[in-house]
Amino acid sequence: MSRILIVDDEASILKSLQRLLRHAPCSYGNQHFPLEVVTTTSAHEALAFAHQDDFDLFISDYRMPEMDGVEFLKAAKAIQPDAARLILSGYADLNALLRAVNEVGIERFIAKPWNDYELLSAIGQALAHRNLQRENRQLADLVRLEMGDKSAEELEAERLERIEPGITHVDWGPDGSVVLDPDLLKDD
Amino acid sequence: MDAFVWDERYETGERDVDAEHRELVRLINELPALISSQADATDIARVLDRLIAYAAEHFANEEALMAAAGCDPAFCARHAAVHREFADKVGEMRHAPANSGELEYLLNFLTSWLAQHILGMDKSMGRQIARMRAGATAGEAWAEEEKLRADPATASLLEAMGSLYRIISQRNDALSALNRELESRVAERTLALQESNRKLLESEHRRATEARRHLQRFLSQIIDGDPVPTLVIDENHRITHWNRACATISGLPAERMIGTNEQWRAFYPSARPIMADLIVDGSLSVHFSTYYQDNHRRSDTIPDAYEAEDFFPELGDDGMWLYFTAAPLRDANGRIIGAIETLQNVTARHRAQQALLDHQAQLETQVATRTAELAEANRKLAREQAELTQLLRRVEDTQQQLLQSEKMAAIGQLAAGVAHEINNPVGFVNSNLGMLKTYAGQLLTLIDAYEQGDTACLEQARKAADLDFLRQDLPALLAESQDGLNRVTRIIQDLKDFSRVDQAERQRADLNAALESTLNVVRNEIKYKADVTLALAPLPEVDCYPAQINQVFMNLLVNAAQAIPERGRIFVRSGVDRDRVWFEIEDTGTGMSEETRRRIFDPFFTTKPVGKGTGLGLSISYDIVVKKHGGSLDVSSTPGEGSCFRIELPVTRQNNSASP
Repeated sequence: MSRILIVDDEASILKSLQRLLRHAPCSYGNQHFPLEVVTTTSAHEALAFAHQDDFDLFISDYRMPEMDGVEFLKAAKAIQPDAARLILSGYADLNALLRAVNEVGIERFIAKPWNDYELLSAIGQALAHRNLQRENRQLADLVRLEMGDKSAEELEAERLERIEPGITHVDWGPDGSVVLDPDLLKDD
Repeated sequence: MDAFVWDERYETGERDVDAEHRELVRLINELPALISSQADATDIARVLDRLIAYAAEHFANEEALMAAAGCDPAFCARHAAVHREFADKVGEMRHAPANSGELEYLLNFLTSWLAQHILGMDKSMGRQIARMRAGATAGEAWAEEEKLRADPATASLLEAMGSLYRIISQRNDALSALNRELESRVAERTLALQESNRKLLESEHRRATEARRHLQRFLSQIIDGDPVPTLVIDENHRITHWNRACATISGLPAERMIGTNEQWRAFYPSARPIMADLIVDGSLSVHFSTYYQDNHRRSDTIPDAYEAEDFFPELGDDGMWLYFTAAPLRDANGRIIGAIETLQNVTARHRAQQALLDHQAQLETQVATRTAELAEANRKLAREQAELTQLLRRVEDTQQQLLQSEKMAAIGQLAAGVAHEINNPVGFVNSNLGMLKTYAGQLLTLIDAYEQGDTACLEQARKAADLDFLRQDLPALLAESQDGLNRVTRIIQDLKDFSRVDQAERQRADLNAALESTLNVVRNEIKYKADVTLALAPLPEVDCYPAQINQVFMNLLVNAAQAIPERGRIFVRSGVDRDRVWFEIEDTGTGMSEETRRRIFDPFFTTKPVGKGTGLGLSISYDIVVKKHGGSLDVSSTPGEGSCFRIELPVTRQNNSASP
């Protein structure tokens, strides 16, 4: 089951996408991706979801009131770097596109109004690509483990780091204490 | 006044005698008037002659009367003697020189004598004749008279008168003698005078000759000393004067020339008349054109004189230009007796003139060169001007393009919003329709299953259709799609409202409506940035170009949205202030510094990142509001708090506002 988080300030868009994805199976080659779709009209709420759950794919509108799609995807990438990212937008100028590619590394840019088939295959492709990467890394890890390049602890640490970025880093305070929240330190 | 006044005392009683006496008196009385009026001596002489002749006639008549009456012979003799004496006296006096003193004297004598004679002798004669007619004899009548004479009073009176006449007579004689002596002396004197006169005449003649010679010498000196070359010829064309200057200029000395008629030698290689000759001949008009062509003219100052100017190659070293004037010389009767000709060497003037002409020609050449240069420069300028015009046109084109690009930028901004707004509903409506197709397919399959009545099939179809979900989702799908299409329709309508073609014309327009339609179009753009709060007061219709005002609204609204970094508010207000309407567009954006605020209306000034603005929006807005509508566009701003733009527009058209 692949989890997808869709953000768009337009509720009707979200509903139509839900309809589409509920029915039409996403597939890439002979892979089939049953989907679990989470939608929200607020980018902030979407980030909150991203903190709580793992997602395989973020789909975002570009123009939104609270923050634009690139900003949102950037923030989402910081939370879940392995998730694939798509922009689905009615309009974006060249600057927005450049930012989306350079800063966020999006998988695809899909223009509204979209073609349902294209959208589905894009999602399928993104998910397949993500699976491939994940499989690749697992294989590489196995090889490194076997070759003795990496210890099982290190691999575990990397895995944890992927799940919760920063969790394996300890922030030492000047007095030898462990700083959990640097902001609190600043407030002092 | 009469010299002799007649009265009855002079009457003798004899009628003929009295008449003749009266005639004598009348003749005498003619004299004083003539004398006093200084009349011609001949008139006086004529009267005197008539008087003498008449006296003689009268005396003869008296003597004849006495003889006829038979008067005493002694008396007759005495009377006749008195007559003769008078006649002699008067005859003498008549020939004396008739000066006025003498005439006066003669007149006195005549009146006195006639009075005395009539009163004495003639009246005595009358009385004797009267007595003899009364019967007395001649002797008795004479005796009676003699008695009267014996009367002492009468006698002495008569005696005195008689002596008076004698004295007069003697004086007359003396005068005559004196006169004669005087005449002889006058004759002598005349002779002497004639002699001296002759001598005087001789000396005067000598003096006159001397003076003439002197004058001639003087004239010769004047002519000779004259620096102007001068020659004079006489009526026979012989040279009489040839002054030094003339000799110098011609190189021919006066001794060789004077007396000859070779005046041509000075000027011409062969014999021909010079101007003076023509003047002497009086053949000017005939020959002037032959000899002097058209370069001569009549002198302005000297009558009958002519002037000419010519070049004489024979004279001087390189020839000479002479300006010569010839004038006739006339005697007292106006006959031409010669001619004088003066020559002026005007070579220097001619040279100067020639030099001037050369200089002028040179100048003209220079002018021509210069003109050519100028023409060239002109052409160059014209070319440059053409280039400039072309450049200007290109600049204008560029400006037009810039304006166009500003418009395009604004429209691009709009398009971003509009495209997004349209693509969103189109996107989901399209997707919904795709789903609807799937739903319809499932429903139709379900219906087919129902028709077939195959329970297993039916169950499968129901499951596939997820009928419960469909029941719930289908109305939502349709409602949402409809809503999406409505939104597209509204956006299109807003765009149409915003860019109505007829609003390009000047007209009265409801600017609140214009502002709202603009806001509708821009709202899609700004809704991600700001909440718009409207506070519009009712406005009168404003005479304006609505399309242009829309552009201003759009600029200000988009700017306001762009000034807001994250999310803020935009307040849009309108109102009326007397004959002006105002609009305020206030944002809660970043605001701007004083430095920026001063420059925002400058063309191409922008604080937006590259590609976001042309820097022309506010410049164009200012142009539209201030220059084309006669309104004002002001801004107040506080950095960090936001900016407020205020537009004021006159409700009625301003006369000074320019056409778009």
